Amino acid sequence: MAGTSSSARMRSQRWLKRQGRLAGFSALSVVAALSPASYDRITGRGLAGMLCLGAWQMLPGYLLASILISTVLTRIVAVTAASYGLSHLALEAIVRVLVLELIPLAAALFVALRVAPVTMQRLGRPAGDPPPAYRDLIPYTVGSAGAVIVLAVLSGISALAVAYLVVHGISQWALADYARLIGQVFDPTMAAVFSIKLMLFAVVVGIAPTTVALDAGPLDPVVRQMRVMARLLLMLMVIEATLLILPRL
Amino acid sequence: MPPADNQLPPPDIPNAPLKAAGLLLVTLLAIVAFVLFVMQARGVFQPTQRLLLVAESAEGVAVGSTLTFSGFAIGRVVRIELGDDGKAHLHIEVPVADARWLRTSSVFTLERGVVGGASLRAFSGLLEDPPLPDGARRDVLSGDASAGIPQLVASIQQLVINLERLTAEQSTLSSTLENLQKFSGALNGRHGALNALLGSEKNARQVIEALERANALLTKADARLFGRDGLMDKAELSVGELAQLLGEARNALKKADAILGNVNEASSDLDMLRNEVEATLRRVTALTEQLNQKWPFARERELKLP
Repeated sequence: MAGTSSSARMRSQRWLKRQGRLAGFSALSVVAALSPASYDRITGRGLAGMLCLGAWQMLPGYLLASILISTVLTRIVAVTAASYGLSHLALEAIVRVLVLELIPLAAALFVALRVAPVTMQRLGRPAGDPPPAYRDLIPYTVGSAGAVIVLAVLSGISALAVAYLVVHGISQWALADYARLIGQVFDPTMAAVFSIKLMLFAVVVGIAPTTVALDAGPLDPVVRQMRVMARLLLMLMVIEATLLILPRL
Repeated sequence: MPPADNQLPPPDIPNAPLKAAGLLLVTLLAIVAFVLFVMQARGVFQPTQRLLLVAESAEGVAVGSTLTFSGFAIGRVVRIELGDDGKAHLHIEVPVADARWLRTSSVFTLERGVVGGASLRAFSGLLEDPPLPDGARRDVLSGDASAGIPQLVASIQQLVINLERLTAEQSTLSSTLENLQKFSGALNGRHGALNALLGSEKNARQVIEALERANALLTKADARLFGRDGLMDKAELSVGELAQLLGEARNALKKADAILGNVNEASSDLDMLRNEVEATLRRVTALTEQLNQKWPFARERELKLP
């Protein structure tokens, strides 16, 4: 009994220690990313490569997918709202659900699925090898984070345009009302929450795959990568849930 | 943390810096354009004037809610506070360009629907009135659709009970409708409305016969009254004769007046005659007394005491 409790205590201590290491690693990565001295020509080239991998190559497919999903969702919501006589609430619901919640999350997941395997493959090291320098992580962290922001912003704007076209068609006469609605949805609080959420998603997608560099050990690389991906998904969900609850407190 | 030499560099993509710069530039432009769009949509660049609406309750109203006029948004709630008077103070920003729809006589209402938020509406009946000044304070008339629902439900329940009572088989309405049906059947019968009103065909026939007799009587009466040598002609003749008689009576009366004048004069002669007769009688009386005194058989009038 005493042996079980002491082993549980030891496990929890080890878990806490690991979380502390992860937090310290993440904080130092952010500091390195924000330090202008970290950037040189080689870093810039690597960063551009990661940005292209996460955003440029993904952009056509992701834009197409987001436009398609936006069209379908907008149509469903608009028709359902109209059948209940609530057409005036449909566009606001679409903007709130699609642009503020779903598209940033989808962008983060898309970029994570695209860049995380590459990052983990490049940064994974066998046991005993020294970990990489923070400067070497910058192309992966900043490039992935930038890709999340690029995809979320561009697909969000395209979703706004699609929602207008699906509901009002090619008509300019509802533009003023639509602009007022967007202005109403993006009030200072919501704009701040949206920006913070986007930044946190970007940071998580940027940093989480690089934590594979910390996990050097006897573990199988595949298991290590799975743990990193699970950590990334968990962090995304925690951020999403926190920012859904916080503005209502 | 020392650098490691065994790791692979990031993937090498052709023209990666150019593509990345282009992407970042487009994204940056999109962000700036969107921020400017939202600021413009929120009226940051428009000159505005303030309006304070005082409502009993701010329920359903949120910062950002619109004030509409004729269905168009002309203002926006920018602040909601509980005033010192215990009422909700809704601070509205109205763009100066749209403020022309608000007049000093404008009425503001706050309507709460069953679904969705409350809607603030402005009504300006007289657009010739002076414009609403900046910082004006107005009371809001509240209309709550959901507040009346329990009362409405109770009323509807009562209404349904009444309807059930009305439409029951033994109800007054049912018997009335039956009577009405009988009435309409009678209306469509042989003697129509008469039959329906009098209850039976026999009565209707009697009324019709009476009418026919009355018609015949009227025809006869017409002939007797207004026909040749009828009652009216005779009456006319009688009236003529009566006028003649009246003329004669007038003459007779004049003569009677004259006779009465003569009688009056005769009565004054009678007075004189009467005076003369009286004087004569007095003289005769005196003569008689003298004769009595001189008459030898005159009795002595004396009173003898016992």
